[in-house]
Amino acid sequence: MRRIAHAVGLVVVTAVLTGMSTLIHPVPAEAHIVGTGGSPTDYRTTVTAMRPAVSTVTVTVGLGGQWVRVTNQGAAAIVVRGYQGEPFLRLSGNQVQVNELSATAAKTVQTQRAVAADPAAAPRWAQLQDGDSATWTDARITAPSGSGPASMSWTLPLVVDGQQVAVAGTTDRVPPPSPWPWLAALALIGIAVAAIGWTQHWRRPMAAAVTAGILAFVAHVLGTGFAPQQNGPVFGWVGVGLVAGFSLLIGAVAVRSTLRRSQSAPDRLVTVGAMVLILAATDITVLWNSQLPFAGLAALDRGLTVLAYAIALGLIVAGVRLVRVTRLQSAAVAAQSGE
Amino acid sequence: MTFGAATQFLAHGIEGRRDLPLPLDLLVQGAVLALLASFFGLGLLWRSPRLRAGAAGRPVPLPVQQLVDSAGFRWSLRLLALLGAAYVVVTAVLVGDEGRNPLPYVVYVLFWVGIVPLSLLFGSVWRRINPLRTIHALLAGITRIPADRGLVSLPRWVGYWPAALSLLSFVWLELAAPGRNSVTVLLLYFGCYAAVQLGAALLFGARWFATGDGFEVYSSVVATMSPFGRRDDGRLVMRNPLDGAATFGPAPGIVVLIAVLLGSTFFDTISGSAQWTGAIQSVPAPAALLDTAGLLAMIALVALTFVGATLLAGRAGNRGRRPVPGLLAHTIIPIVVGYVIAHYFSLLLFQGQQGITLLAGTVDGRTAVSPAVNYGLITTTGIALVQVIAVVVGHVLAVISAHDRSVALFPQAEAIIGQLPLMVLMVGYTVSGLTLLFAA
Repeated sequence: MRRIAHAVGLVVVTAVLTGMSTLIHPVPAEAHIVGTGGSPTDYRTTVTAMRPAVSTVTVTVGLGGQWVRVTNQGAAAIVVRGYQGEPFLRLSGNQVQVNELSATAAKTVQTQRAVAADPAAAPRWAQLQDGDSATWTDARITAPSGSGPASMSWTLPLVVDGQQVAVAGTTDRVPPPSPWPWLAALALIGIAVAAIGWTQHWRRPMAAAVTAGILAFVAHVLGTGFAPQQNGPVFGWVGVGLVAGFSLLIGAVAVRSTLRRSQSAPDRLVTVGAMVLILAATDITVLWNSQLPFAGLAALDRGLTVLAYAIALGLIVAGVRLVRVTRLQSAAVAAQSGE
Repeated sequence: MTFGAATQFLAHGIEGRRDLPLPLDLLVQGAVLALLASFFGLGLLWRSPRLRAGAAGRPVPLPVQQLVDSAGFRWSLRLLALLGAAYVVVTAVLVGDEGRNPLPYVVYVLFWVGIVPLSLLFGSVWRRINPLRTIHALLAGITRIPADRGLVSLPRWVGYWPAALSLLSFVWLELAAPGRNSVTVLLLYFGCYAAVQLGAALLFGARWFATGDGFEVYSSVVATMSPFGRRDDGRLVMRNPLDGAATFGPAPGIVVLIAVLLGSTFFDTISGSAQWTGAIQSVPAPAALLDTAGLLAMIALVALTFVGATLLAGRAGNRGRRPVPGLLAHTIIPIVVGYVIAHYFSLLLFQGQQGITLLAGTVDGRTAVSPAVNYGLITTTGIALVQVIAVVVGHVLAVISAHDRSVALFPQAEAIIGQLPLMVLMVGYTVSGLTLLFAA
């Protein structure tokens, strides 16, 4: 009975830790923690046409329209029109400028000068950054929140070298998969890994579990890095590289101390489990969204995430149990030597 | 914190992601990694307690201590502070309730924000110069009430509760009260505050101020992170700020005190956001009521998450429950200091100029309704950088502080897992703080 109570206690502690780590991302609640690729969503956004076709402009949209990027591929000047048709951004000569009098600029936080200007007023251009592309979040393209329409069309008006150009696209709702099979797999794998903590020869299986969990998480993170990044590949890969590198490091330390029969091995197992859960906290949303920031099959990303999550949870339960066992064994040895 | 028509000046901080040195997503990821890496590194390398709290520190040269402790020096500072306070009150009364009155600037910027860098640099400054202590000494002399002991002894269970409540009253005035920028309201508030504090000090003796005067306690809490402090033997020393923080607590009310300080700073950020303003405008209830509810909710949230995490830490660390929150309360001090710097640093830098100009303008008869501010002192990216560094460093120091206390509190086998709930809490505070600061 006491063992059951103990096991239930471990599960409760794990659940609370997991809940806390999931709740710690309050504002971009659905955000992906790694990279800058955006959040999982149920909307697929596509650029369908550019009228008239212009070869000197490229328009890229992020997952679910979470961001849009206009790249100058040789035009003398590209002007992006804002929500009220006013000049909003200008790309020319390897420079990106913002119209300080544009209400769109204020709403998209491109400038601190929140001016409710007359859309017909002459633009006042201010340097925003160097480069040939501008990326921002545009309300015309962003997928509707909640129970929005299943499909919508949008248009992004540009002026390319004095010529009016309309970039047209669609945002379509793609039904999400059922998360239950994945959650069932997560529970089963988690229980299996936790059960290793109750076996006598737990070290090799546990080292294998840590290796599998870390590699699954790192593969998930790398797949995220290969997806289009809102802030460009450099910034995206900085985040991805740091998280992947750190994960490999803590995994290696845990495996090493487990195989070397170190007394601190149970501690390391719990620590690795908790850290993977924190780093992957909101990534669990890949199970109930259809569009994922992952360069590969969505099912593969879901499988990797389930594996990482399940093993992390199992490591925490097993690790806490092993910490207790180690303490009791040490106390018993101390008592015997005292006699 | 905004106050009135003449004061769009207090839209402090920065307003958009464009000012950030890195994309916000990446910034948050980096901050979380910094915390996790600190935690992981400490687990490997820091196996036994190293902070020595009140026993730590290298004594400053004796002549310096003799000067600082001399009656002449102490009384000079106290009289100077008393004269300064009197000058501000007289000026506020004479100038009246007008846009050029320096009182709101003096209270909310120069005093409330300025006390933080002063205490961080020089230690528990306000305790040394607190005008209420000086007035109390005079009153005690006149009434022949023993200044130190008062009339009755202060029960131990009172602890920091009075300071927490008096700080709550001030942050409510600052963030939620109607007419918070009115000179009349401010004078009335501080008149009542002084009367209550002096009455309590006459009753319980001067030691009341150390746990009952919110401003003195605030200064003392921040001062624990100062490189200057007092060792247990009374020597003035230079020390590791984390040793100083470890001297704080435990005592009744300490968790509420910390929650008021951190929760009110969080709420100040939230209340300045467009989302909060929009929410207030859409609800048919007085704004002051909603602000009050928001402030109390945020303080309660901080208190509950902290108590929950520390109780869980006590359980995971096999230490039972009761004393753990109080024993770990000091670990939040670096976080409080980090947030205060991040949130108010630009306010002090820019609006502090206006406060000083208004005070000076009043002296020589020149009045300036809208004093000029030199915004060129630092760029918005510079401000963002200071904010990020303050928040992240505050949390990393908190992790170190929590780790050291944990290896002292918990059995060796459970020291690491005992800290996990705290680590999760700190990661949560970091993510929330940075997101609120830059995205709200």
